Amino acid sequence: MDKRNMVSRLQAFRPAKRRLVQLYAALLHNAYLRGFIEGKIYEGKAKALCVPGLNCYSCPGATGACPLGALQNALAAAGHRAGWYVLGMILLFGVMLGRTVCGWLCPMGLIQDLLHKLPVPKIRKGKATRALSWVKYVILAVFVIALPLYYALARGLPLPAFCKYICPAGTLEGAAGHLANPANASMFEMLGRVFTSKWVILVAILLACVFCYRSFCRFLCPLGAIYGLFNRFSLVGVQTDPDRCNGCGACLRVCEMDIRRVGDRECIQCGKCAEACSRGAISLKAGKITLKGPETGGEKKPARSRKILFRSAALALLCLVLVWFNFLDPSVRQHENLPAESAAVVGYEPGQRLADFSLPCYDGSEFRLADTRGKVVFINRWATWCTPCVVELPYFEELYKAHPEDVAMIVIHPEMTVEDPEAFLADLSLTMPCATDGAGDPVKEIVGGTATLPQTIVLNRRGEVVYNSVSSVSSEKLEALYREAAE
Amino acid sequence: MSHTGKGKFLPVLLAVLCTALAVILAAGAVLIYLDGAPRRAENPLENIYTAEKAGQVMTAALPVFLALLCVLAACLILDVKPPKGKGETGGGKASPASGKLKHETWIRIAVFAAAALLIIAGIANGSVQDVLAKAISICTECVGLG
Repeated sequence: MDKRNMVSRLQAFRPAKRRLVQLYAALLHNAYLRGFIEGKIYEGKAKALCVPGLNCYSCPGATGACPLGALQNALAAAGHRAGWYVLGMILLFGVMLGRTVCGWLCPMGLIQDLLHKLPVPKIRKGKATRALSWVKYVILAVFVIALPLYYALARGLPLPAFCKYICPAGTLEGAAGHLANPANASMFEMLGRVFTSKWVILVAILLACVFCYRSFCRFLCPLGAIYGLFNRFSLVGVQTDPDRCNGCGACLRVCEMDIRRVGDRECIQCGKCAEACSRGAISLKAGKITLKGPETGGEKKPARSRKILFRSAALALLCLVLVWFNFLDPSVRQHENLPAESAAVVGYEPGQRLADFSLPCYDGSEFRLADTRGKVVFINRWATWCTPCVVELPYFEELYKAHPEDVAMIVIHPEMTVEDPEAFLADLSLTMPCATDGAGDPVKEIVGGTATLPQTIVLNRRGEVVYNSVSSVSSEKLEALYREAAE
Repeated sequence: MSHTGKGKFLPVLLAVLCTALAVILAAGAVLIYLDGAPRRAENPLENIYTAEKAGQVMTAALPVFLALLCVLAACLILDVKPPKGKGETGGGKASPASGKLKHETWIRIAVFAAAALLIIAGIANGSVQDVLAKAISICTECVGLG
């Protein structure tokens, strides 16, 4: 192999411009790198901002809210407040970018593209894949819209059905992302049927992506289905010059998506067609600015100095974002400044004694932990938007009623609420003490709580922790915990 | 290289290894669940999954994963390209139109204005706080933890 041949082979490994943009976007979506090291999620206020791509907001690195998860939760909360903000953000991303998000920005798209690089025999597009491309609209209608709405309005349960039953981003980034960190070893306790089914779905989707280009994106992704509706008028997108096009079909042949024509609802605006068009009829444009392909309308190619300036600005922005989210964000610093001594004196681990606290309950009484000595104490952290939390509340009530003299109990909602927890609980007619945590969630700190819900803490008669776990509990498990703590 | 023996053999071998790896990972999880579920039914405090059991599955998958990496390296060194599958390579009619709408600018402006209004309405009615409240917490069931 001569030197020139070797150089050309090495050049073939140089990442394409689109791949670099995808990597850049994936880093921006997951800029909280400390989360991967510490096994926690970012809890700053910047997370209220939706990101364009499918990126689970429970991923340790996630810096923004997943639009699809946020949309389902908005629909699940439709009974009390309309989710205008999420709808507005999705419309904004749609009208600005359309499915350019899928082709250039989505972290799941990057993973699928990389898997498809494996040189195995490929399944090419055809009538079957075109038919399958409609499945994502069914998933959008059923799992993203109908089921969350039905459960919210008819059964009073928040159910983000796509996240719970299908989303591979949630399993890969959220579940596997946390389980891979030794700091979250206790999370293995809660794994069961839900995890098994979602893990199998994830593995099947990733395997399918090796053989069939962007299987998830083409057949299953409801976010792509939404953005596809904007493709025909989005600001950024591929455009064809009808004067130059001779209808040879090279664009359709080179495209691996199930498009019928350039720029339709299936097009992810990757720009491969612009490279393949020998007539220079296709270009990727942002309004009148050409991003890829031949310039039209007499515009000039950007100077080299402008390109360098643009790349430097992009790099500077990335550095700024990384430094901000990992070191400068006030919420991260606040977390750092928590007094370490308090955990050393009183603890929340099994065998340690929980620090005293008191909270005003919704029924007007005051719950004081110090007053519960001699009883088995159950503390449950829950939230109105958390399905397993809501499902298990009657189990706590059942236990509370079964042992009225021997059990002290309180269910605590975090300070930040989506809907009024007191009104929410009124419908359930609970008799056990219920309260909302104080400003800054002091009880969460006392019980060693994290962002993960539900959390159950069980204390024995001496006030010592015998169980502290973030997992759902069944009626049987609560009874078993009571017996263990009462011994 | 793609038309030689190695050019056909290595992609098929890689496909087999990918499938085997996926089967081990998926079947491993199912077996752990089938093994642990009856025990949890008897004792609700029993764990179905443990780090050790997950480690066993990963250990079983490791040789396949390493073999996959070796074959992938061989493919890269020998410049093996994936063989083309059966089926359409393009299909459909080439369209001179880009699929863009006639009055796209006006539609764009209208949708953009609607998006801006919805975001402002969302800030006013507190739905931003709803997004934040959910985004800074982990619902274990929603991410598949259980």
